[in-house]
Amino acid sequence: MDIRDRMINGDFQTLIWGLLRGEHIDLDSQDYTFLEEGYDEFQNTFQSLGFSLIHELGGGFFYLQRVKIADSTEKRQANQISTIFFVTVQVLQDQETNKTAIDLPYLLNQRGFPLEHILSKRTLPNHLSRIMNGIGIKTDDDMIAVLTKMQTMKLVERISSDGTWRFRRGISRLEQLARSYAEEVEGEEE
Amino acid sequence: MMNRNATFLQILLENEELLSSIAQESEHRISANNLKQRIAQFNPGFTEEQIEKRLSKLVNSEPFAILILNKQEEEIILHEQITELFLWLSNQLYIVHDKMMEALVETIDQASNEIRDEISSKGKFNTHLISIKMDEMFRSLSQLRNISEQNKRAIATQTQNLRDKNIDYEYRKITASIIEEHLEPLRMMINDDSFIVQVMDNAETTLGIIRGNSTIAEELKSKSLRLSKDMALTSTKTREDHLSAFKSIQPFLDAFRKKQSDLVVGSQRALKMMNQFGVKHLKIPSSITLIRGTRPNNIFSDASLKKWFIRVNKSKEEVGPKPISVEQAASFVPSIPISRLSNHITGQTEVEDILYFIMNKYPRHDLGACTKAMVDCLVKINNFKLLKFGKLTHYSRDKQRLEVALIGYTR
Repeated sequence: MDIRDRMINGDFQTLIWGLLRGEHIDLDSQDYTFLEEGYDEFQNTFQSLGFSLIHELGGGFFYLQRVKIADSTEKRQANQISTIFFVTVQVLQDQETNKTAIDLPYLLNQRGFPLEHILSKRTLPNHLSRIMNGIGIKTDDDMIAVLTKMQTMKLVERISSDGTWRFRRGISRLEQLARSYAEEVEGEEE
Repeated sequence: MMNRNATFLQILLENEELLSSIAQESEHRISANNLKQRIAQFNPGFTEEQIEKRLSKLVNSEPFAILILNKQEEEIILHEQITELFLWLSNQLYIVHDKMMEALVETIDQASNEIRDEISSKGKFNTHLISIKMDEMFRSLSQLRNISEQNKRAIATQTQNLRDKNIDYEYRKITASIIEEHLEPLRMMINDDSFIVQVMDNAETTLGIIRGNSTIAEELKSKSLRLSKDMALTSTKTREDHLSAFKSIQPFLDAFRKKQSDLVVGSQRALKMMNQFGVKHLKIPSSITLIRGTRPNNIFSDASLKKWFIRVNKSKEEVGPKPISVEQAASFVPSIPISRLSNHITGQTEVEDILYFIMNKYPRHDLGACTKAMVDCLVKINNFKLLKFGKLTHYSRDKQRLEVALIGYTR
């Protein structure tokens, strides 16, 4: 049975609704192959609903993007998620005392990072804590709520009850966003 | 391309005298005209254009402006942090410069050479002169030990500052660059084959000659022995103090001096822009568009989702260019208010076909907008059990066609 027939049979509801919930389907998921094989069919389906199915070939994941610009709730969520990511990178850089470069492979290690501890108001440096406050992440509960949202989207995953989280492939969307600002800096210097 | 911090440091050092003179002014302020005169004074031969260029370099430096231009009052203010950095460069951080240590070691070397010349002279040698030179060596060694102790404490303080996460990261990074440059000659000085070790070895040989000479008084020989012990102690202490201090600071220097990935540089830049202009300036949502469904709870139960699929019949009719008409300009259709619409749906006991219901309620909206509104309403209703999935149904509006499983609502 080909992908189209399987879609008609309703085999992919979980996958479709997962994407509609904002999940990033990465190589670790079995559904990745289905999306790859039936890309045109799925794209057709999602476009009829006003979404675009994006395949990050290099990053190894799929996600949905709304054709229209986000509303205020989505903007707020996007800002909070990105801020938490930028702050995490800054804290990890600050903690890393050996010569390891903080890049995407570093972030994607399976052991994860104690995000709830390093992003806690108790441990976060004042200047980073102020930035988080400014974006509406005022308490540790707010911070965990944003991480949980990111988990719903499969950008991160809580791997231990002690507050350790690991990044998933979809995080490369935020990594690309961060790198775009670095490119701006280089452009200015030249 | 030169690293941004290295460029910054270079600008700072290249204008050391100029900035130092502004730092001495009241509130570190100076008029624009006066500044240009000083640039010309410290850089004889500069043309008008070069002076302007130098001024622009100082005003536009990264990561922050060394000189801040106040256009209204036509005056220039030296950045507060630069003043701090500058004070540090003027030894306010108490790390004694390698030149000072080198001068003391040279004094020891010179005294040792003069003693040896005196002993080697053919005539009767001057024991008083030898004793004076040995006193000079004692004094220099004592000073070296004090400096060593002072540097050990100063470097420990700097290590603490580099570790202090409440100090701005960029600032610590620049400080690390300066400390690194400052410590490099000190490192060279305490190497196994360094100047200090060679001088101490030579001086030790000289003192050995004194002790081996039968014509020299026992008192002087005893002094020579004490000086030898003092010298060995100082040599060891100077090297050990610096080595232990370097060992403690090095990991932090490495962390700040290592080449940063684009990810880190970009994140820093983003956070800095957020601090200065607010998050809106970053325009994140245009890059990271999310979808409304990204909520913490699962909106639809996967198990409940049964045969639901969508198939689009693409219109085969070609769309050609159309002339612009006045009517088109007046055909603005406001977006469908999702919240009100979903409340309206949930207010009904039953809606047999949600999409049909929406299409009827909003006859001026195209099929795409109605479908989008339906999905948003489903998300808003957030209770899958109340939704009912039916047969394949055909929908059309204008040239748009859609075949989709019917979705109804029952309270």
